[in-house]
Amino acid sequence: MKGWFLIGQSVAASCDSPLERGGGVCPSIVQATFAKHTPANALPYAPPLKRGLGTALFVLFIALLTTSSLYAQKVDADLLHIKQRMDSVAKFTATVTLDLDVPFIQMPTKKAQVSYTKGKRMQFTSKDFVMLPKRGLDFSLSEIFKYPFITVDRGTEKHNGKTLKVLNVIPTDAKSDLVLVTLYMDAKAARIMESEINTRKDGSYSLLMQYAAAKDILPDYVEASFAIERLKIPFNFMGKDTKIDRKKMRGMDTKTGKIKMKMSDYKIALI
Amino acid sequence: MKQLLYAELLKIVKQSKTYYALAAIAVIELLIFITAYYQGSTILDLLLNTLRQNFYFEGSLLNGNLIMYIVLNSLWFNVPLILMIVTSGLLTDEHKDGTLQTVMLQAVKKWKFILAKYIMAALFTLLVIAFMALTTFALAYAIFGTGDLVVYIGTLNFFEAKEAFNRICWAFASGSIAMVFYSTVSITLAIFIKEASKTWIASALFLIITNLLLKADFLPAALNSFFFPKLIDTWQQLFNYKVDWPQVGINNCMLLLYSVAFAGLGMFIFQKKDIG
Repeated sequence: MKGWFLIGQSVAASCDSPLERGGGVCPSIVQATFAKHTPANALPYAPPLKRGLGTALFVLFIALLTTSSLYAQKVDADLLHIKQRMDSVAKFTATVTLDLDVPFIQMPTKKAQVSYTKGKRMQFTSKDFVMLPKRGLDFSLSEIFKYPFITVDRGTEKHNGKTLKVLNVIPTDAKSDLVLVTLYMDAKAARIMESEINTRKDGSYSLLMQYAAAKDILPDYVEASFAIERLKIPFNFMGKDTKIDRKKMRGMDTKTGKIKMKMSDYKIALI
Repeated sequence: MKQLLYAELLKIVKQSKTYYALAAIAVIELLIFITAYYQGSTILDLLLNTLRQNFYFEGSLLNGNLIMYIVLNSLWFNVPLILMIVTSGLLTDEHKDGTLQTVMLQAVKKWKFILAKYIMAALFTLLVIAFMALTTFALAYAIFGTGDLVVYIGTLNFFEAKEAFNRICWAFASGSIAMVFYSTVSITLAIFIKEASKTWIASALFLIITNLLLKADFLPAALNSFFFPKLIDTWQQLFNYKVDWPQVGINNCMLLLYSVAFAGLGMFIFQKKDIG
C-alpha cells in the first residue's frame, strides 16, 4: 500500500495541476508501472531462467500482499462522518447567484433556483438564460459516494490559515465516472472545504466551498474551476470589425474557467 | 425653402421607387425571419458548440432580440445600397426628365434647391430606418418573444433582455447616422455623375470600398480612428460588453461632420456647374 502511495505522490509531483492535465492519464503513471516489469530490474547475478522465475514469484508475492491490503482498506472515519451528515439531507431548495468568470465570455450576474432531492440530479430553473457547468454542481457530493470507493490518507495541508485533512478517494467500481478525487476536509467541522475531481469523460475540475455558519452542512458559496477550450466561432458570426489575433488565439487553446455560486434562502429538509 | 422641401417631399411620396425601397427592406426582414425560424437553433448550436462541452444551457437565446441584432446587420450593405439608389434618384431623375432646367428657370437659388434635396434625403433615410426598426420590433417580439441576447465581438457577450433592447434602440439610432452619411454621399455622387445607372454603380463601389477599408489599417493610429470608414461600425460598438459612450458620441459627431462636408462639397460643385 505504501508503494502505491509513493507512486501517487511522484505523479503529483511530476505532472502539472489536474486542470492542465485535463483529466487524462499522467504519462509518469504509465512509465512508473511499466518500469517495474523490465528485465533490467532483475538481479544481475541470477541465471536467465532463475531470474525469470524469481521475478514471477516476487510479482505474485506483491500481488497477494496488495490484494490483501486492499481488502483490508478502510474508508476514512472523518469522511464517513461527513457522508453521514450529507446523507441526512433529504432535499433542499435555494436561490443561486451565478457569476461566470471565463476569459472569453462576458455575462452579467444571473439568478437561478436550485432544487435537490436525494438520489436525483440537482435541478436548476431560471427566468433568464443561464449557463451551468456540467461538472461542479454536485456540492452535495452524492456523485462521490454513489459507488464503492477506497480512501488514502495524504496527511494535512494548510489552506487559508486552516489545517485541512487531505484524502484521496478512488472509486473501485468501473461504473463510476470519477477516477480520482482529492478532498480537503475540515475534520473538526465535519465538512469538505475543497476538492479536486478527475473524471473519465468530462476532464478535471476543482471545487472551493465556504460555509456561512459552523453548523451548516451545505455551503453558501461554491467556486467551481474547470478547463475550457477556446471558443471556435465561425467567421459569419464575428463582428465586422473583429480582429483576429492568431498569436493570442493559439495561446488561448485551453483556459481555466470559474463559476462562482452564492447560495441564499436555503430550505433544507433533513431525514 | 419650405416650398422646396415640400416639393421634394411630394416627389418622394409620389415616386414608386420609395415604395420599392420599403418593400425591399420588408423582404430582407422577412427572409431573416424565415431563416431564423427554421435555422436559428442550428446557427446558435454552431455558435455555442464549444461551450456545450462544459455547460448546460437553461433558457433560449433564439428570441426577438437576436432577430433584431441580425436585422441590424443588414445596415452593413443591403439597406445603405437601397437608400443610396433611392436618394441619388432625387437628383438623377431630374437630370433624366429634364425638370432640373425647368426648375432653374424659376427664381430658385441653386444652393437652396440642392440643400432641400440633401435635407429630404436625410429625412427619408431616418423614415426608412424608423420603419425598419418598428416593423422588426413588432414582428420579432410577436413571433420569437423576448430574452437574453448573445453577440460575438472579440468575446462572447451576453445581455439581459432589457439591456439588449436598450442597446438595440441605441444601435438603430447610431446606425441611422451612418445611413444618413451614405445618403448624403449618394447625392454628392449624383451631382458629379448625373446619370442614374452610373451613380448607382459609383454608390455601390463607394459602399464596398468603405466596408473593405473598415478592416484595413494603413493610416497612423491617431488619424485612423477619424477616417470615415472606421466610423461606420459605431453602431456595433454598442454591443461591446462595456460601451465606451464618449467614443460612440465622438464617432457619431465625426460622421455627421463628414456628412456635412460631403453635402458642402456637393453644394459647392452644384453651384459652380452649369445645368445641362
